[in-house]
Amino acid sequence: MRYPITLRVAGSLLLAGSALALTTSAAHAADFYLVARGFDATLPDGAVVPMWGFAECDATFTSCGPTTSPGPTLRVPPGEPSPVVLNLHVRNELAVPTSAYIPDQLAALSPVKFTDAMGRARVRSLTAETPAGGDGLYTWPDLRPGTYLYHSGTHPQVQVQMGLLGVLVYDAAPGVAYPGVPYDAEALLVYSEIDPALHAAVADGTYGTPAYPSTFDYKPTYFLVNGAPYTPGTPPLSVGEPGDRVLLRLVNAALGHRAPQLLGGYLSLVAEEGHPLAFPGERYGTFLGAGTTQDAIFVAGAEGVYPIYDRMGSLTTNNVSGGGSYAFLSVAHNALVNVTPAPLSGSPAAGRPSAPQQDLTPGTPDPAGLDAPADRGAFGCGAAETGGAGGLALMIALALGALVGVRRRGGWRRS
Amino acid sequence: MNEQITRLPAVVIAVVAAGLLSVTLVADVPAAEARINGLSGATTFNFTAKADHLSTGEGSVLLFWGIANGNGRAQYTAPTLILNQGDSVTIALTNELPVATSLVFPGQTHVSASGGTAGLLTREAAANGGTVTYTFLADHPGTYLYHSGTNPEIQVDMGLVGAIIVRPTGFDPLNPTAYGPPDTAYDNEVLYLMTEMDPRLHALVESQGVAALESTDYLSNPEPNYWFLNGRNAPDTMAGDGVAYLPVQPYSCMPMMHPGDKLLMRNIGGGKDLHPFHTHGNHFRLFAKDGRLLRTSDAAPISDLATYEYTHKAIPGETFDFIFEWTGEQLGWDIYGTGPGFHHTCTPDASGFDLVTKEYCPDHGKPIPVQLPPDFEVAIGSHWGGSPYLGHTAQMPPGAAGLNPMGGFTYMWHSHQERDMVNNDVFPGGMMTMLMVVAPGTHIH
Amino acid sequence: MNRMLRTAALMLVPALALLPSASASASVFVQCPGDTDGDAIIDHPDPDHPHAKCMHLAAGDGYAWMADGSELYVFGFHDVTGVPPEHVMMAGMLAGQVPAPTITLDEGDELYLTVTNVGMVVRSDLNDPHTVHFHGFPNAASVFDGVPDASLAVNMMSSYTYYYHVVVPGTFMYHCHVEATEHMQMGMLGNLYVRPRQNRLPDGTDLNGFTHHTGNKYVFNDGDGSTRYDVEFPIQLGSFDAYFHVMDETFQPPPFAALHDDYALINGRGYPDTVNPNPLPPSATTGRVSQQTSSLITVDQGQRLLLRISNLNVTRFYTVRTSGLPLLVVGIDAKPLRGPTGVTEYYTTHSLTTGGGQAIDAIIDTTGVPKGTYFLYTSNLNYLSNSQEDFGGMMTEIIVQ
Repeated sequence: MRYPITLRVAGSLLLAGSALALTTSAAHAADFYLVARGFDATLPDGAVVPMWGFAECDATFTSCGPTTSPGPTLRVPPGEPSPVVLNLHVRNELAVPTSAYIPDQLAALSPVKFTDAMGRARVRSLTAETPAGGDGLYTWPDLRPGTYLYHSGTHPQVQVQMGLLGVLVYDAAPGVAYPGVPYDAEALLVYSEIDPALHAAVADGTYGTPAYPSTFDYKPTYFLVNGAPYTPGTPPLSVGEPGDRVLLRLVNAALGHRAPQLLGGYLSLVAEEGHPLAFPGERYGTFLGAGTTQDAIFVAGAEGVYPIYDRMGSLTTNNVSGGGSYAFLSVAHNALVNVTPAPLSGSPAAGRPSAPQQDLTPGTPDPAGLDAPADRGAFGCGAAETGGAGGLALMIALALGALVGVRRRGGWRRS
Repeated sequence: MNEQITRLPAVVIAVVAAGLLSVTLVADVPAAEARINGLSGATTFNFTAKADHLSTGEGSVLLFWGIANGNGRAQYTAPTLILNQGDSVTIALTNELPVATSLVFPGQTHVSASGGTAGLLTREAAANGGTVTYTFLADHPGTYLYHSGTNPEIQVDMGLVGAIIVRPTGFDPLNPTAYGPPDTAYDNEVLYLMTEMDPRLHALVESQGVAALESTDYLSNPEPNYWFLNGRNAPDTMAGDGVAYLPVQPYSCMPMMHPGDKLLMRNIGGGKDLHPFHTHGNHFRLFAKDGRLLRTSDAAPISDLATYEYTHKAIPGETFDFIFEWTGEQLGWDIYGTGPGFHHTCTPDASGFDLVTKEYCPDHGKPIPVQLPPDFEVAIGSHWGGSPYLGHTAQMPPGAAGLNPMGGFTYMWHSHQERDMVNNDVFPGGMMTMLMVVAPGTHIH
Repeated sequence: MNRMLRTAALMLVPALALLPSASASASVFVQCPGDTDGDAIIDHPDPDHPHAKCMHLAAGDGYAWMADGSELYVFGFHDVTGVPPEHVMMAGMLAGQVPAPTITLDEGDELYLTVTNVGMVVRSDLNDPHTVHFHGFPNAASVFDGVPDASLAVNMMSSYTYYYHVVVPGTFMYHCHVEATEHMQMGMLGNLYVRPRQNRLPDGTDLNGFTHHTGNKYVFNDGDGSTRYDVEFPIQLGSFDAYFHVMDETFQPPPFAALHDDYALINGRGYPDTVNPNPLPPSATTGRVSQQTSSLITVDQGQRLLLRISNLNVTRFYTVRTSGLPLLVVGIDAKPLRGPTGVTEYYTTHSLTTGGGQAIDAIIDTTGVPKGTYFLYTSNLNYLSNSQEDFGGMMTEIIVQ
């Protein structure tokens, strides 16, 4: 049994971890530093799509990880007495205002409105804007545990679609997602989608013109899980051993709905949008409305690869079947937890490290000798920046994980 | 409205007769007469996936890919498997389609596949004659589905989807239950497998083959324009099982019941779209999803997490079971009519209902509170019996009505996403059928 | 083309004004206990029907503003309660309201709902009947269920009175069921809800440890005060396809197969018209006000806010969400979220996904919520548009003050 490391791979560990350590004086505050910037993503079919994304930086924004979509998974260390204050520091390197917004966490908002031609005030940003080239700070005074989507609250119908989204994770306690909901291993599944015509219109300045007047014309053709459409050969997510309580963090950042369906087992639906459910539902599938999150516990009875795919049919990549919203969960004895495929990032050529082969084979001896936690959330810094040296990132993570052994719950191995 | 009794209502028979006769009348009606049609009594199936053409509600023809039992014609929807809890099931699939195909069985345990070649979701039978064999253990009772596991965004739309019903251990056809516990008991049961088809996709596959889809956006932006219940569009949903003019669409979807009956609805979101399934007439008690009872634990009171809804969000891939009842309780007027020609008695049981007629006795003898307009001021529906009273009919203008000779109360059950009630631009049709509540003693087909 | 047709429609109005005098007195027929002059107002309460409520709706056509400044041809209901029968045709014609007038009832009421079909003036070729479907009414009788196939639908220039003994509290909705895909897409949709008997308990009644006080309002007869609220807002989700409305307006066959809604609405308006506290301006075509219902939600800090959410769009499912405010879901489809043995299954969330015909009762407790502006909006973010204009669509504001 493993408790997955909750710190991302090396870069992010150093950045976020040190930031957190430095802010302990400010009554349990968690600070993250995000820069919003554009990048070009190369999709599996070779298409290059202009994207906007977040990158995680140090507190002075001098050293940043790669810009990705989904952006970095922000993991607030569990176990602090409440209230825990979340501070998101945003530096905006886009040419338009943007913001950081968590729809499922309560905070006072400072919406920004404009007056239209008919004299009506209407909101253009659900929360305060960070101007182009400027810095902003977004604070949530009393963070609730759970799995959350964060995204831009500014012109969200465009900016979320452009890629300004990511996941925030805050556990009630180490290895406990919510009070009474312990888990042994986890997998994060972030659904998103891309309409390349919208991206092109935004990039060339024709969005809002007759060429692409509004999101009324929105038609996505790429369907992504964890920032990438499924491509043949993508390794499964290793989620532990038979009998483990695997926490699936399901996040739908798409503008359309999804219905993930599991083959070979049942899910126990334990939380919705960060609120634990008093009566978990037992289902082989679930429904994720646009912009919603759920947590589910999956206990596999046997070794195997368990598909979880969108029953609503977003199973194509640029209209070619065999792609899109497929994911596969690998359950195996003695398996290492492998590196999640990198999301869309700014250095696509080097940004797709294949996970080390030994991670993919059930029963392969643990090279670190520890059955140690490994990165599960390369949704940001780390795996991508290491390029072809994904294995190195993994080893660093393993080593750090070994040092930060508290990440494990209940011992090293289930007997 | 001119009330004329054109036939002796069963309720009058029941009331005029002595109590013993009434009981006999009720007993004459089998406890569970309306049954779901499908393959039962077997655990080994030899299926063939093949192409054929189906008939749509407005009279068009669509290519579809379906499952044939043995080497007969393909059918849509695929054969309904009616199994018993504990069955070890083997399905040998031969593929006569021009593409590889496969079947998956969500919610079943010990699923294994042999033969064929490895696919993304399961092992597949190769195109043009390949074979594969699936086995699983039906170890939980309930309602399930099976469907293609090969490019399901294409093949489910093309027609490769069917229902599975697992009878609970100890199932007694004379006192049936859906899952075993007494609160899952029912009198009648109906399957309600919801699917849809995008006619553009079917036309293109027929004319140019599957590969041509890659140069369209039919898969990323589907535009279904046919919506089905058990493989038929309205109004064909209301035709009987196995009617000759629908040779590849054998399954009816026309629920009927008496007041007070428990009607079990086994519902399946078989397609790729969400559908808000609405029951006119009353709420239903939703007690199971994905083949699992809604309850806190095995130890808790049975089904204590059941909920009541009047519209259910049917999720693709989800199954959900509910029990529907109707009595007309507290309508505020006598559903069997008042005055000359409508004489009947009401003897309340402890909950206020007559044992035989299920009439809510506190409303007995209360006249209908409003006057209905004369015939020329209204459009008369084809399922209107001519009378507001259950079991009664009345003379109507020539050409009016005619589909309700037993004077039942008719309720539209349909997707409340009303665009689903159209057959490719022709209204009405699609995902719609009628529930008919008929007077006690009236035979249910 | 649109503009020309509207002009034509305007020219039709004086012509049609001649019609009512010929037919109204013969056919407008209100049935209402205690109403002596046929205007659906109870003049002398009938002791046999102490809980009678009467309402008179004219079913016809009209126009509605979309938030981008365009006007769509609609079918609709207009509240003609209180209008003398001889004036009903004139009052109701070209006055269809979007949404239909909200019907608010109390458990135990007898509702006598008269519908008079005043015809669709712009569609002079269309002699459609109309009905009311009280969506979700428990143990309904087909004669008052409003499904034209299964009952009777009232023809032009005639009236039909529906009778409902209202015994189940909760959030319902109503709509015309004739040619349902067309008449509902065209706008014959309204809010309808029933307040529970528990509201009327004597002051100080003990509800299993919760003390009822006069003036307390509840969603259901919950027996424990758990569904108490201070302020309530009906929020009916919907959406229109402009192309469909233009085709209907221009005498074309309804383009069912091409349905694709481009105006996502709350209570018949797109943002920012949703937050206009007043009725929208009169139609440029008819001069009549059709959009009476604001969706601006205001609540005092500390109050419990009830959202009665219903959905009557005909093409898709919408997820609506709050910006940070937790929603306690206490009821679905006019039933408390409780199991058959009484297990309470309320749950907290921030988003609700509904398709047409679904209703959800959700309470927001604003205790401790910072004052300010919050949003209720669809997270199908591409529907935050009014057709080809962004920053609109299915969104409204919640002001905590």
